[in-house]
Amino acid sequence: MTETVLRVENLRKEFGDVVPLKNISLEVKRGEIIAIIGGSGTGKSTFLRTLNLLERPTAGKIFFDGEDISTKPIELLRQRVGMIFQSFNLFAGLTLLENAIAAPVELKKISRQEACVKAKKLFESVGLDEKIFSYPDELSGGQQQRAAIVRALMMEPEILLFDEPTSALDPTMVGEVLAVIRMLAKKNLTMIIVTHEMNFAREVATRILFFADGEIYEQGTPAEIFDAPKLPKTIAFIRRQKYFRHEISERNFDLPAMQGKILSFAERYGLSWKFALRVQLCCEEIIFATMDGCYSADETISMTIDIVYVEAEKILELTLTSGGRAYNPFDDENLSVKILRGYGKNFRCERVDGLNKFSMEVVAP
Amino acid sequence: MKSLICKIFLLPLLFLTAIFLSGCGNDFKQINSLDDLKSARIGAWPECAYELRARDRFPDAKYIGLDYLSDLVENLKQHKIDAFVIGKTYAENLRHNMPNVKYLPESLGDVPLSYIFPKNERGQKLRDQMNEFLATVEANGELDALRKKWLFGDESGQTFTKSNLSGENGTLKIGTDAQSPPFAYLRGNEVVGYEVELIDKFCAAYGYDYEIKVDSFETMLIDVSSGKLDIGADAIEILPERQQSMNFANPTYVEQTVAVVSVDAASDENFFAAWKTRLKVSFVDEDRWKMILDGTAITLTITIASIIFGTLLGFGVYMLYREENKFVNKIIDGIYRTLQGVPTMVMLLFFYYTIFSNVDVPPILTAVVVFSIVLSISLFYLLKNGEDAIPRGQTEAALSLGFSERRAFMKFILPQIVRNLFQSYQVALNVTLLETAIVGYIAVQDLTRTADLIRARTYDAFVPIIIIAVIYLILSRLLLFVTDRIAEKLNPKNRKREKILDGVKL
Repeated sequence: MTETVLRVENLRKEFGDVVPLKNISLEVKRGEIIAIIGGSGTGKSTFLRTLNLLERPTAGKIFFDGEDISTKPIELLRQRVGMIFQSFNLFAGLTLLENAIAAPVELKKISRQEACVKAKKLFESVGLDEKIFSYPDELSGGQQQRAAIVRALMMEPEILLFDEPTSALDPTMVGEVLAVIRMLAKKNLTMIIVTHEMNFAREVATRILFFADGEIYEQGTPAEIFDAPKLPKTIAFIRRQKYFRHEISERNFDLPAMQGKILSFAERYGLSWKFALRVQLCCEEIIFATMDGCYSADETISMTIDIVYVEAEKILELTLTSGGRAYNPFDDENLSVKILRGYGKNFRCERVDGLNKFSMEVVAP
Repeated sequence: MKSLICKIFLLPLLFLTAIFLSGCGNDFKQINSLDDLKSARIGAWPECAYELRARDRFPDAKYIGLDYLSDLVENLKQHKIDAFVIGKTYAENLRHNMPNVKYLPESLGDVPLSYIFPKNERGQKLRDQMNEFLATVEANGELDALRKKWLFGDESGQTFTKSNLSGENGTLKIGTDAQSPPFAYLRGNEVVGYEVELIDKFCAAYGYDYEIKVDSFETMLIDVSSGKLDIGADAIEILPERQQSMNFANPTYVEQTVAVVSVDAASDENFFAAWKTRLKVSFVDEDRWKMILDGTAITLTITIASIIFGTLLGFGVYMLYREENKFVNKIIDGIYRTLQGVPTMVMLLFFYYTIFSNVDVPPILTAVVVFSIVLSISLFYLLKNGEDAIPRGQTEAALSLGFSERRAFMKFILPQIVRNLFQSYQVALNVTLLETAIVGYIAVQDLTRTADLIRARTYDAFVPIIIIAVIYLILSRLLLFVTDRIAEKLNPKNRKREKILDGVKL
């Protein structure tokens, strides 16, 4: 059951003076689904690409099924390791069907007939059976990525590497690709996924690797990493993911722009539409209440809105920090405050270092 | 439809303009006596003995060097020059063929003509044999008979067929530009003339066989002095500077220098009849269409061979380049960058006179080699830029599936490059076709060279040029047509579903 598919020992990669991978060791068991998260430039993609030697490691060893891969022809290894790229990389000028059958027919010497039948089945399973005679440039990004997954699956790889499979996609198409990967996850395939989709990583992965500065900085189960990260960089990263800040320096600031950002923040964490509207409304009311309460008409204003979403407890904390005179909006009895009281709880007001700090929790509908 | 109309109307319009412009004259100055030449514009072959005689007499005149007799005539007709100086025999021959030129009878001085031989042992020996032979035929009256036949006779009597030669003492390589009637010139596809028949008789007397190589005058001179040819036969004027690099036999004929001028004779023929005659002369007479056909075949051969070898070479070099051996790539880059900076014509002469000068490589092969190289350069850089333009991701995808770098390139990347750059490649092919027009410089009788030879005979520069222009146009369209069909096949989206499935049942 817990057979090791892939073992990486002290892997290091240098590009001249830049060292994207410092020292990485990892063991992957069969059936594991590993999600690699981390900021950009931390070596996640480079690591993935060294696993099938698209990048040659500077030092270190990689064992695949117990064999050192540097001792065998790389082409044979790659046949057993599938890779999905951020930019799909389907072969232009070939139909989806031809994209899928090229490798098995040419490299595994499977008959065209057999390969086509198999490809058709796979395309059906990802909802592309109508498109097998289409060319890549005739398809949407989501469709192309699904086809690329089929192409990789045609070689029946023992392990699948996903290099940010949804990063190049329109937000509306992310879902369809993730659905396909979810489907693969249920089939017990071994996968390593570099991704920025935190919810997805949390839901689908059996283990999360957090990369920082070319190393595996912290790793653990999704619950360990997302809910109780132990090390400071992980904590900062995970928090930042659920953190929103907006600064206001003018009386007639761009309200729709701010509202839009709040909406996409809410979308990213799966907040409901109603919840998002509620947060928007609370922000708007607290800003205008503060504007009237803290500043006179001709004063320059300076405010910051901070929103933190605590996913585990489904609590959304809203904080407004403002200059101007001391003021407590929650004491007033105007309409704005009535609305705020209707949607939130735990109202607090403090004055620290000459700044007013109002905070509240917005209650989910 | 629009483009068809354009083609139909534009072409004749272009030609009519050309015809009209060719008729536009410069200032005409009627020359009646030698005195009128004192400050005239006088044409002559560059650096020829006739010009030297004229310069002695008219030092203040303006001299204009023109390579071919036909050019001299054309310039005279268009009044770009007032007169040209040349041997009397040529002038006499001209007067028969051209109604509106005449020559002033008074001679400007004698110019001895003879054969040339290389300055080596073999050349020396041949020269001595020739001198001996000339003395013999002078004495027995054969030479006089030949002169009467070719130089003073009627054109109807000027026939010649090569003797049946044993060739027991070897075969002589005779060079001529075949543009010196009646000494050595082309009639149809045959080189005939006074000096040709004389050589024939010489060979018969001394047990040689011979073959004649038609080439430009300059090339012929170089080939004789370098020993590539055994004898140059072209009514060559004996000049001191030439004697330094080659051997002359005793004069075969002593020519008089005369000035040819034009007569403003109004033509009775109407426009169409005149053109009919001109076309007939350039195309039908002496089976010249056969020459044109042969020239077309040569041009096509060079073009097609160069396209095939050039494409293979360019592709092969690029595949070598892709191996990414730093040393090899430096060499490839160095060679191609150097060759890029050399005009094709210079490269052609360079190969002909240096690399292939001592090897017996037919000039047509030299041409194919050079044009293949030139095409390969274009193709190499096309492929290089073409691959750069294709995102690396597709190669990586192929690698990740287990394809080798080379197979990935051949199967997935190359077809895209070919597709993307096919039009540029078509342009390169067309350039190859049109550039072959320079092969005349190394003695290949292609289409352009054929036109040169025809106008040398007919003194009509315009019609042969129009004829070959039309032929080049047709060849070029043909090339485009064929390659367009290929381009259609290259677009994968033109394929039918059955073709994609290729027998597979789903």
